[in-house]
Amino acid sequence: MYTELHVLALLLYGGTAAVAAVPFFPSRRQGGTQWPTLVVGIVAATVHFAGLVSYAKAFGTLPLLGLAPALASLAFMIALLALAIAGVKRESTITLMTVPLVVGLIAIALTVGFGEVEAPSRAGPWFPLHAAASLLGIAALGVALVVSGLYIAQFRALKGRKFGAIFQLFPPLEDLDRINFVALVSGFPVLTIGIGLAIATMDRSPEALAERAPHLGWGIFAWVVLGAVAGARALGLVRARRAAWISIIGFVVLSILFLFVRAFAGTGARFL
Amino acid sequence: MTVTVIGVNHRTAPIEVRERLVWSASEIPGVLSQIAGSEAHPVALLSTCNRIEFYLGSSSAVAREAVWQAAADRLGESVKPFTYVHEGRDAVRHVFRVAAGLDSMILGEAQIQGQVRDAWEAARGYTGPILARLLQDALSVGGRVRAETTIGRGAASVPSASVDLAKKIFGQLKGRRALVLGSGEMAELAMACLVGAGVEATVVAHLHLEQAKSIAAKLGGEAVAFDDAWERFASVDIVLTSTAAPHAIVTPAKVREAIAARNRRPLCILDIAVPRDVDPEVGNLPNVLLYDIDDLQGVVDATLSSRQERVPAADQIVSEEAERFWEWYQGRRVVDVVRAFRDNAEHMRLHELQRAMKKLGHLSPRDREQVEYLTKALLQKFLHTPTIRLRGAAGNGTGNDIAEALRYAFDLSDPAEPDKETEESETE
Repeated sequence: MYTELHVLALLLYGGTAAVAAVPFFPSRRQGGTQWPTLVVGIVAATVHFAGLVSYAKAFGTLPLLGLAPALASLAFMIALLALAIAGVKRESTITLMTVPLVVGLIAIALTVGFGEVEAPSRAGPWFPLHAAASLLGIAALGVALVVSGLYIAQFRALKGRKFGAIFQLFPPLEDLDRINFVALVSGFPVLTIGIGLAIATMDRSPEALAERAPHLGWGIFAWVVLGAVAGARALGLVRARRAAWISIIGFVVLSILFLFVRAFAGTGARFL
Repeated sequence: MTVTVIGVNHRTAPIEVRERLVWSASEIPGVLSQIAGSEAHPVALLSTCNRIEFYLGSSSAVAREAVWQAAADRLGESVKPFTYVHEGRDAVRHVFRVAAGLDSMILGEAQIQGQVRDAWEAARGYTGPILARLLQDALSVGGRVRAETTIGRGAASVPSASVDLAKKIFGQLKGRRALVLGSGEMAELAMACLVGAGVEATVVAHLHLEQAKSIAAKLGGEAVAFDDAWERFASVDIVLTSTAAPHAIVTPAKVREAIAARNRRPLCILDIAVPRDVDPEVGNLPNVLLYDIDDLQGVVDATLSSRQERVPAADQIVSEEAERFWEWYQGRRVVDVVRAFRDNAEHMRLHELQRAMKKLGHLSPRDREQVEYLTKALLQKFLHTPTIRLRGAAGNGTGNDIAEALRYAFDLSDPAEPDKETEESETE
């Protein structure tokens, strides 16, 4: 059931993107696409949530452990954050540009396949909070990636004096920069909580450390990357276009490292 | 009886004709009264700088002639060579297109909506129920077109393009600071638009400080000497330049230092001077977004092109609404004819009954009641089927022709003649 619900959510996210893309086709009636986009997006997120709940019921564990459940939960958090921003800012291009990321993560999860995952040894009651907070921190970086992409596109349109669809429909530069700032600066403490809980509650036996080394290593690296970017933003060392590029680079580096660790972690090691 | 539009606009008449034909708001009741005449023909007038249109709620030749006469008196010559006439469905469609801004000089402009509202307000008491409904519907069609097609979105003039560009960089302009270099009508217009959009602190620099003070007073800003302007590039968000200098006065050398001190905050420079005031190299400085008059015109062109692409969707809405109005109009017309038909028959019944009763004086009161009942029953049976069938025809769109035939056959008065009571109840 959880697989079907995730497939349905994937299709509904596609529908959300289709509604959000209507203003790019000027010959069609299109007044007020923000609310229809938001409504379809909320329906998609609700179905997505139902899929995650269905997984939790099926396996008696939260969908935070294992690659497919973790990616599905990450996609859900990114979608939720994007919908919240779209609702507050009353515009739909952020949703439109977030959909590929969300759909991509769900598609990978579906390809990998959901299945029962063994919990790490001595996973205590803090484990769900660690996983949820860590994923939320990464989701904030994902949102920063999306708005940074929009920023670069709008900046290029403005700098290059191209007054077409991007100029007309994408949000203003300062709004995008502000969202980037909030996403990074609020995402970092959340990730810090996640990483902190992991370190504080982890099994420190040599076997457990060896097993969890790739996971912990990537987590700390993510914390360092997000911390560096968020710190630079908070201190005013970077802003605007540079901040956008740094956010994009940070996300890409984390993704590449994730794939690398995933591919080359030893057989006895655990990674997500 | 039908809805008729007689008008001139920017496409059919040159400005020299239009400016002579325009009726000011205070003159409109007079001309409406003149055209309505003693027979109270339904009429409304939309009078703007680009469009003078009379809307008639009847096909009366007298009313039409009154329109031609009023226009000719105003112009001092016949207005017919410059006019267009729309009737029936075409007229309804035309009025709806006008209200939606689809027939405007600047496609999709919103001002016309208010002007149609003013025309309706000014014509209250002259419109009759048909025109009142037409104008009310036109306003709602205009609103629907703008909401569903966003045809009014974007900047359609150079000053509003300045605001659009600044908004695309800064989002809300409330609290932003602007620097104006020089003066000129376009610069003042653009700056007024920016101030209207929320730009608060303005600094005006001019070669002549007195001139700067005068402009600053108008904009509610501060005046500075021209040479003090360069350091302000570090603190303002928008720079608007419009000097009469024969060459670029804003160069990288003059502003590089100030721009470097901005800590990567974007700076929007709007150069609306010809020749340009700002060296194009300034646009290559980091986080400087430089636009000249051609760029601003480019924003306007992009907007108008985008609006043009929305016309088919807008026209579709207009057609749907015009068809809806026309159905209502036909139905209403049939109802009026049916009412007149029944009133006419009742009048004949009473007249003939009265005549007959004079000759039947010997009848007892009970017999007289029976005779009256007989006439009523006969009339009811006679009218029942035609009434039902006409109402049915009104619903399927064929009622108007049948109603016309009925009106002709029974010599019924034109139901379009305004009924003051109905008019007031429908326009309130």
